[in-house]
Amino acid sequence: MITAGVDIGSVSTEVVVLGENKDILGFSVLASQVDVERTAREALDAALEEARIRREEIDYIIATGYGRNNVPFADKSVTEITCHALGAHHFFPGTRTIIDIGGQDSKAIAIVGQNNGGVRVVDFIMNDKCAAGTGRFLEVMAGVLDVDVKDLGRLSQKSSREVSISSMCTVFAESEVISLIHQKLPKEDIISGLHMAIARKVLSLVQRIPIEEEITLTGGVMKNTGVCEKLRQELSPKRVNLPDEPQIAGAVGAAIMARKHVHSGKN
Amino acid sequence: MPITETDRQKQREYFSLQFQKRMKRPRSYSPLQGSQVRERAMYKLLMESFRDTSTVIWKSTFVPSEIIYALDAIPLYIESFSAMAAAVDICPTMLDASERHGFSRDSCTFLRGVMGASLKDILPRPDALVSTSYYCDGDPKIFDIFAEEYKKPHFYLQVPFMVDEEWSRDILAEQLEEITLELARVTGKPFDKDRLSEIINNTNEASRYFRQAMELRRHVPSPMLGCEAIDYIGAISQLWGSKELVRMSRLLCEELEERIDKGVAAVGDERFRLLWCHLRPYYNDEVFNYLELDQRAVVAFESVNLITWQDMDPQKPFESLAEKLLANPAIGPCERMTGWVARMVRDYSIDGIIWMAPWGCRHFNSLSQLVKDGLRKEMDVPFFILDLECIDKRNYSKEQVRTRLDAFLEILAEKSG
Repeated sequence: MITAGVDIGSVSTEVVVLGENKDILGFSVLASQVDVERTAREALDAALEEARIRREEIDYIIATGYGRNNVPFADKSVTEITCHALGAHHFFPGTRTIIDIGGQDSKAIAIVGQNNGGVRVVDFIMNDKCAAGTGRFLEVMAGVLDVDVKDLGRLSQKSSREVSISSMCTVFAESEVISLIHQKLPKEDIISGLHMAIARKVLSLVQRIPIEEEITLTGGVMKNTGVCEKLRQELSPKRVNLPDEPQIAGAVGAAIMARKHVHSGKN
Repeated sequence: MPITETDRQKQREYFSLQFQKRMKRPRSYSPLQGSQVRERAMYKLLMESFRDTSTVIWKSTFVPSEIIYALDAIPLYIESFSAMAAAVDICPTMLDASERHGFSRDSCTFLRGVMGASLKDILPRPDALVSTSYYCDGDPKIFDIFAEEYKKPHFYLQVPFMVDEEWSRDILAEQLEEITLELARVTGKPFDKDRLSEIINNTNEASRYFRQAMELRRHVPSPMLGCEAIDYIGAISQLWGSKELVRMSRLLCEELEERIDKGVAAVGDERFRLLWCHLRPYYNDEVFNYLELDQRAVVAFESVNLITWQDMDPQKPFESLAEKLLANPAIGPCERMTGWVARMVRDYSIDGIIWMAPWGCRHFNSLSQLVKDGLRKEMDVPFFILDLECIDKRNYSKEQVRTRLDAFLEILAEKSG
């Protein structure tokens, strides 16, 4: 059985093609465009090419993410909450708490094991009212600091002193960062402060659901080693897992969900 | 610039037109006759309160309307005006007006709406005002502003936190009597204790019907949509003691009985039964339509429609009204609310709880996590705190809400296997 998961996020679109043994045959990550359908098709084509299989060979496709209802070739849509949970569990079967930070939202998910070896979501919480502390937030801050968003993690490792960033509204934080730059504070320290601010904001969500001993981090922001490091510090001594490709967890979960649908014969 | 009487008249006619259009709106479900009677009663009361000859007493949530009916005055449950205005899309201009006057967008939208309407002088003018210290501490403060603006007296009912103490009832009963007598004095409406006893009898009769309706709504599948049922709270809060409430509650019971006898369900092939806590978005029906009609997750009961008190003694009206007030699950320690939620979950065979958390509702939101954690110790029922706005449609994001609802329904589906 071959299945695929398509995760249409606000910043990026991921597709994962899963093989018979739940092995990842191929995946792709593309920047989300205005035309959701086109992005999804291009991402699927890229993943199929990597997997060296044809579209017709896929038994079932599930779409997830904010654009999940706009993927005409998907057989079904499932929310990113369920998909991230399944994806994180796929990478780390012992995980029971998931922290996901994507382009415009962050969420904490609690799961429990089932008799069949699978898991189900029992609780979740998402950011509300404001997307501060998400991928977009970091993009804006990287722009203000004149650094590539991909370099934020590396730069924060060089910080010798963490700067406190008090505001978590993106616009207000932007002006706060500008003020810190004017004070000639090293960029590395400001970045480290931003990472801590994100970690604390996300943890305020996480603490509202039961936090278990094994936690997995997912979402594009987790490519930033600085944010992950701060989360690890704050969650210590709990075990905090980080997949090699944290941003594809949602698509992996969607592909696993697709397998469940094929097995159960549900449409 | 002060608004002229001609402008007020035009406003009134505009309201009237909008509310009438609202009552005739096409609906995605067949409403109960009782619900239509309720809408007409609310509209009639609002229009009557605009009349110069009417004695209008503004009241906040949970001020017993019985003491106002006993004086043959009109109780205008002022927060419900914001809900009605939101339903006919008048509210945005009211909210804008209050914000321009310095009221934060983080505060209660019900009160901000009323404040905006008051600043625009489009409300029925009060002869006196009564507020309580619960639910909302914001009520007495904003009522003070209204009192100053309209140059009318404001009476304040302090509700004790220690709900189970006898002295709490006595203090409350004393205040209720004192306020009633003061209202009589300032409005020139004579107080007659026998009239209050009659009003109490009306409340008893309506309460009995509503309790019966609560029993009937335990039926699986649900005979009534939550979307429709939740709107009863506006009438309930405003019309206790009136004959209209007796009529509509009796009609509600009769229709529910009839539906159950005929096997009529609110939605075909009911998938899930939800308990809804707090009020609802008034600016559209999207959330309830999506849950109940599209997803067949029927709101089997709503916390706001819970009747928690027994029949009142008409010979001891103030003591009885005090007991009725103190029976509200929202006051006192949070364990009381948790206990009632657990009871509703059992009574209504609930699969999941949606706890609506409006942005500015500090008092209810402070209970959210405590009730959720308390309930988790008692039972395994999915509980979702849904950030959702009642009045201000500018704070509503359809897709964000939809994702959260879908995820919650996925939890329920997985749990039920």
